[in-house]
Amino acid sequence: MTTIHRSTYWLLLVILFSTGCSKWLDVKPKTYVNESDLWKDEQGFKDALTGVYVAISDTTLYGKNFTMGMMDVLGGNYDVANSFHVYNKAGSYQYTDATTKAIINEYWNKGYNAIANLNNLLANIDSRKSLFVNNNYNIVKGEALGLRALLHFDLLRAFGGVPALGLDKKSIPYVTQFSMTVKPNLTMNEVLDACLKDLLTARDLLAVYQQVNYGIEDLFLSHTRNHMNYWAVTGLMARIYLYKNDLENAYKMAKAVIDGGRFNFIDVSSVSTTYPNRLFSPEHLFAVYSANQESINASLFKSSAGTNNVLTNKTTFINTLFEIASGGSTDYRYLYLWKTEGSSSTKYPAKYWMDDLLNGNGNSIRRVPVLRYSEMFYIAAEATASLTEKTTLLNQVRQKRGLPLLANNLTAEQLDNEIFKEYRKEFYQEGQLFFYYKRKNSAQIAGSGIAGSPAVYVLPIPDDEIEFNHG
Amino acid sequence: MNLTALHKAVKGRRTPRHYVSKFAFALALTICMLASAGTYAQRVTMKAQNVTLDEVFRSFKKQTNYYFVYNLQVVRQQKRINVDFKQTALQDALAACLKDAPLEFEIIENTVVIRQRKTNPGNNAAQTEQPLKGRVLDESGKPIPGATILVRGTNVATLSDGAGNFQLRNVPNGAWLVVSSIGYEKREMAVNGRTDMGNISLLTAVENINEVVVTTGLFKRPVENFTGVATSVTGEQMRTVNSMNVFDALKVFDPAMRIPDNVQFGSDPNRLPQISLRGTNNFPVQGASSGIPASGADFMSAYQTNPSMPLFILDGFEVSLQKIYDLDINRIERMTILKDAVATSAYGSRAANGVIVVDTKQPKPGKLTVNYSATLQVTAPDLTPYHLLNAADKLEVERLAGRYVGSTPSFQQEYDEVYSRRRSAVEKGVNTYWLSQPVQTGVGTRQSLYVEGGDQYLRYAVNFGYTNNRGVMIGSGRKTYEGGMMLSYRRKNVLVRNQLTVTGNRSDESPYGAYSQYTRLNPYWTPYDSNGRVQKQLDYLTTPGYGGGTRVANPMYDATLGTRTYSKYFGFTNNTFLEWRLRNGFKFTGKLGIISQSDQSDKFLPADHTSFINIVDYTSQAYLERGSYDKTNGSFFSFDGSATLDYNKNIGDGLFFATVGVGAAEQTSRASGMAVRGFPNTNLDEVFLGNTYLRNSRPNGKNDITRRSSMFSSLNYTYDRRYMADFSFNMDGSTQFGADNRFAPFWALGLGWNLHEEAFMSGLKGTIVDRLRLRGGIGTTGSQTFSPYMATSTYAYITSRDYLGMLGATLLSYGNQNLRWQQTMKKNIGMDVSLLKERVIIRLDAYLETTNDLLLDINTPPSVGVSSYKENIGKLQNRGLEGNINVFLIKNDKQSTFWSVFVNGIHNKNEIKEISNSLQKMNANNDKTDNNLQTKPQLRFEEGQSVNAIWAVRSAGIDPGTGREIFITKKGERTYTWSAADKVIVGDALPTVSGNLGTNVSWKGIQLGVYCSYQYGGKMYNQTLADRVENADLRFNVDERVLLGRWKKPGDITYFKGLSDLDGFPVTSPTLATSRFVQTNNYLEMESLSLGYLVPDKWTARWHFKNTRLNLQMNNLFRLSTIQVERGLDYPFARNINFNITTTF
Repeated sequence: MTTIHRSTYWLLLVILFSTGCSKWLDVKPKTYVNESDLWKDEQGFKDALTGVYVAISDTTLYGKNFTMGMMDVLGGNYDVANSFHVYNKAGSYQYTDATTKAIINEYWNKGYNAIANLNNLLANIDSRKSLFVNNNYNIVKGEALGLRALLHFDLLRAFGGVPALGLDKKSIPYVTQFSMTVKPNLTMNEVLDACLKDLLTARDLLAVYQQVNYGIEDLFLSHTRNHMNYWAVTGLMARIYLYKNDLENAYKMAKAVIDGGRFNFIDVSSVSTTYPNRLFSPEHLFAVYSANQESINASLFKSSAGTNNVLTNKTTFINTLFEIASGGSTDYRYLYLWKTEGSSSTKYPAKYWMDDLLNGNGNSIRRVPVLRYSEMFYIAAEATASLTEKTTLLNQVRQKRGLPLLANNLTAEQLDNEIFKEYRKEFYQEGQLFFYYKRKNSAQIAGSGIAGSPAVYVLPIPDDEIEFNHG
Repeated sequence: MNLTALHKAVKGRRTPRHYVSKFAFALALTICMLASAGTYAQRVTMKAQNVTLDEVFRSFKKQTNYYFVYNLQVVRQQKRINVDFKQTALQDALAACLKDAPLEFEIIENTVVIRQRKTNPGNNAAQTEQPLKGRVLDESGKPIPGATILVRGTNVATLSDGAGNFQLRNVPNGAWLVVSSIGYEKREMAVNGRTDMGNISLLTAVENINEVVVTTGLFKRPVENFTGVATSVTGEQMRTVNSMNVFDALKVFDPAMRIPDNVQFGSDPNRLPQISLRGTNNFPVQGASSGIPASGADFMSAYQTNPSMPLFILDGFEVSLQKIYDLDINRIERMTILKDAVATSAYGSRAANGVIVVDTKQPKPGKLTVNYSATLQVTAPDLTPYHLLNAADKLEVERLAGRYVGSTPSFQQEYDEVYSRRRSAVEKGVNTYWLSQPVQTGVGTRQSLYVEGGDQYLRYAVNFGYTNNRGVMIGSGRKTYEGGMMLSYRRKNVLVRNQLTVTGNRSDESPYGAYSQYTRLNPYWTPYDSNGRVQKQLDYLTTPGYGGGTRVANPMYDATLGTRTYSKYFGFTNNTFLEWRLRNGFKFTGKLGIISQSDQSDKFLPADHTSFINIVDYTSQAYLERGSYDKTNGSFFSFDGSATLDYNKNIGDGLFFATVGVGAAEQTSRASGMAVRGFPNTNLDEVFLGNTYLRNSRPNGKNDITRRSSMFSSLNYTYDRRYMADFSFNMDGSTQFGADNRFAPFWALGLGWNLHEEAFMSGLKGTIVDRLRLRGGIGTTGSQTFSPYMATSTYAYITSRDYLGMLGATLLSYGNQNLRWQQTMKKNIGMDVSLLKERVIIRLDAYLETTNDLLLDINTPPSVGVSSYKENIGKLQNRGLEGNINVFLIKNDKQSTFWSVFVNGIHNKNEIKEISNSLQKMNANNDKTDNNLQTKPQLRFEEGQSVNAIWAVRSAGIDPGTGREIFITKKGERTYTWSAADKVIVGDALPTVSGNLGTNVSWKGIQLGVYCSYQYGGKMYNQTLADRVENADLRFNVDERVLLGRWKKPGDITYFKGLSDLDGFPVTSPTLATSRFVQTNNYLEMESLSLGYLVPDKWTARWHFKNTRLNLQMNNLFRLSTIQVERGLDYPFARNINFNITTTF
């Protein structure tokens, strides 16, 4: 009898022990944060979102190569004819070149990695809505959705087909889940619709917070322009509708930003001062914060970069670009955004220079613009049918850039050309020009003199994706 | 009590295995008892033809319920008889049975004692007529019935009765009594002419009679009843083979244990061996690298380089490889290698690679005894694997290879100058033997002191050990200090034991640097300048017409500087045991083990070190950053607790053992390191004196916590000594696996059949066959050799960049919640045979081990967000045969004279069953890599092939017409073009059979042992032929074969390519992986030759020394091999001679 008693006693102990174990085995690593720990409070969600901002401001994405670096090389903005130049092959659209290919692969890999981060955040936020105070649930979720659309749209612009040749071609996957299931490639139309769907939701969520702040107490809310805010989402929708050639909606969205009254063009006094705001930061709908911009700038846009890395162009090119011979010499973008170094006459694009600026210039340095106020005017001008309105919209920008106003009798084609010229001038060092050429399926890329074709406009999807994506 | 008594006796009766030879002599004394609870019945009935006495007694036992005590061996030697009794009185029946046998019997109460009949009674004058009386009691004073009282050295024995009383007749005055009972410790006492021994109290046994058990570290089983595969080696046997190195000693006894020679690091005492049991259960590339070395005490630390490493258990607790490597071999009582699923079942989740169990010595009671052992090791470098050119020949080779031919007259003049300079050096007699410069004949030592003593209640032991293991490279060595203390206290049924060990270690690397630096230096260079000082630069190699050149540094110069390359650790281990013997065959054991260790490693090279010789521009930043200091600190802490309950019981003819237990363990491993640069002066040799951190570096580190909990149960049932079964079941949980699969069950089932106990074998029994046992086992085991946290999605904070003052967290990896334990299904069948009175002992096993669910990376399309994640996907299989034969050519137990020979061997075959796409990609990448990497065969894993397959392009030899190599494509066509696509399997590094053989002779205290290891049928890519002959860099010294058999002119049929081609230009294209250099790697190596002498105590009695033993060992004396290849690239191999003396006082 005692035997039985004893064994029962032990058996019980064993059962007790083992049931208590599961929790004990749940060790929290020190070096890392377990995801269940991260989702414990609002701060964790903010941190995860901030992680995405940090990730997309990396040099492989908006911090350098997706904007001022390679994307702008593809836009034909720089002289990379030197055969030892790191962007030499990219300059002639040789996407099979190993260096170029590696940079392109990074767009894809880092882009989708950022999307995975967003998806994991989005997968957990709804069930923990109660953790958030004020509008923060709306803001975090809205920004995450907005970023997911932004990244997908930019990946589509890079790796998708030329939109003018049809939007029903298979392009890239639109990923909304962090799982190891392979996602199928969607048609361009499907991707654009998915972007717009996310953006619509994001816009609804973010509508609770439309202020554009700078320097308020709460760090998370204090730099609206550097978050995927309500206006950025609206502006991005305008951009996407235009890419989709949905002019009506594009116009609507662009006007929503213009009429929103939250943004203004920069005043020349802020650009011509000792500490100039070369980024025109009040005009940013969305710009990423790039912590190490000074060194990136030094490695690209200064003599310190060396001849094999420096990105600038010949004086003749600059003069043509800014139409110096035909009244463009007063353009603030020509006057204040180019600099020489020492006694050398070589001009360098100076949008991101900050040697002569103080750290105290806070809001006007270390940013890379992704969406600008001026683009809303270009989009609206392109989308409206009224020639008068086109002219008015363009002149609104020209006036703020120190350019003479356009005459009222220009033809639609001439106005379109003016819009193109604005894209060239306005987005120098920002990487948007290449996408303009691609959207327009331009026959030629002005800066490089190379004929536009899908071979130029469509970046190759990485081999790894093709090899392992059987979906 | 009687019931338990029986099974112990059964256990004790059994012949120990050959590897417990120490106890072979005890055999004659073993006594069998058959007993059951007593009722009174004294008449027996039995009718049978041709039965053994044993069978008759068993039958009587059943009918009468009397105890039967007899020497089984003696009884079994008797002739078979015919019986026919019908309700015959027991006495009469026994008398009838024994009338023709030289046996007599005595019935004392309800016990029948059968013993050999006195041949000449009354001859012993010293015998007293009066019977010797006594009473056997336990600690609490309760009588012990059924205790055996034996007169030492005779067959005179009796049993105590129900009140513990006994009587013995014919006991000589000077005799010793051996009093024993199951569950109690044996006690010996001198009679000293007494007629009443009074109360003899026996202590509850700490351990079951441990000479006949298999210990798995967590529980013990009688060898006879165990169906698992285990090899047990006593410390004494190991010390005979090698008194310095635990693993070198152990590997001789089991062919399944493989420690391949480390071709790279030779006999470097600071390189831990790469051990595997029965092949590899993982892909070699799988070890996850964490970037920073973990503490040496971290169990996981060695898995990173050897994912097939077995689990090590020291005194019941898991320890790291380093702990065993640095363990004083003199402390080892026994090592047990557990191989199959049944044997390793208690370790379920950790046992896939097998388990090596180490038990250290426990103090024996008695007056204070000091055991001292001193070993002197002389270690000398073995430079025979190197076949390098001397100065004159080297210069000639250079000349013949056209290295002094210039394309223009001015270049030619430069060449001529270099040549004449070197020529004149050679003429002057410069012929530096670089190989001997950095090496020494090291003299190492090991001192061990072990003091033990105590009484029935309190026992103690203290040990000190110091090992100075000198390496053959000057300045390299490994010093270990060890101190320990053990106390055990027993009161009634409770035993408490505590064991504390403190270990300190320092390992020094040679300031002379890597040995490979010396094998390449030209012998016409001299290490000293004209003033006899060590020069820093030996030569400045230039090519006429090109600017710049290469500075050839003299690595000996580094030894004149104050470099510091060492690592050290200090730690302690404390193990506490509690044992509580409950009634009814229950025993509770609680254990708690704590390991703590802190590690440090330093590597300091001043600016003057030759590794910075090429940085000469003093204006550069790099110049200021010459000199380096890399420092790492690590710490490790673990605790491991377990509680087990053992139970055993007899049920009829069956015997039942059971163990259930729970355990939990936690390990915390921390490490941090930093790299500092800029140490302009040798004296600035502290890390804080550096100029700057290594550019773009940050301190690195890690902090891993792993926890494990396990429940285990094991049942063993033996029926009638003929059939046995083992069954075990475990549940293990670990932090390393997915939340959905945190616990995993592991099980094992073993069956065994003792054919020698069957009636139909009885004719052979005792004469031809002593033992014939068949065993089979099947079960699952797991392995947890992986970095923690793979199963959860984890985030890391990005600290290097902010986002407007906010820190962001980013996903590190996809945590696969479904990750399961990697499971190895192990199947084993085997047999144990012992023939001709233990003269021939054979053991054979066949196994099949399949590792399923191997954790491998799966490559994903990057669009899912990551490029790979871990999944249970791979499958590997090992199957093999292993065996061991031990034959005693001479065996005379009485005089302790014997001569035995043994051979063991293993044949293992490895097959990849399934791989993931990441490995396929690795294969493709390995083929893509540039030619410089193709000069050696690259790893390649393909399903259906062996992990150890050598992939290279088939060669048809050297074309006599052109001197170029002809390759055979996959399709069989001949071509001059080498292409990675044409690679096929050209051999397998796994040998057909490998193992050990040896012999042992013992005669009058002199013991001679010879132990060799061999391998047959394995292939090897002779990298020396590729690197040092054909692809030899002729600027430096090369293998002497560089000129032998080389193609010179059309028509030459040669083995090697030409140095120059048809047109006379030097051949510059490297020789890529070719079947031409795949050679058979058969070898026979003498591991150990040992000569021992046990000094008779009478010689040493004057100094009160006992058991004094002198031992001489020579290790790695010679090696016969079919392949001539440079071994010991960065550190030479060594040969050792050990002198060892052990004594007790």
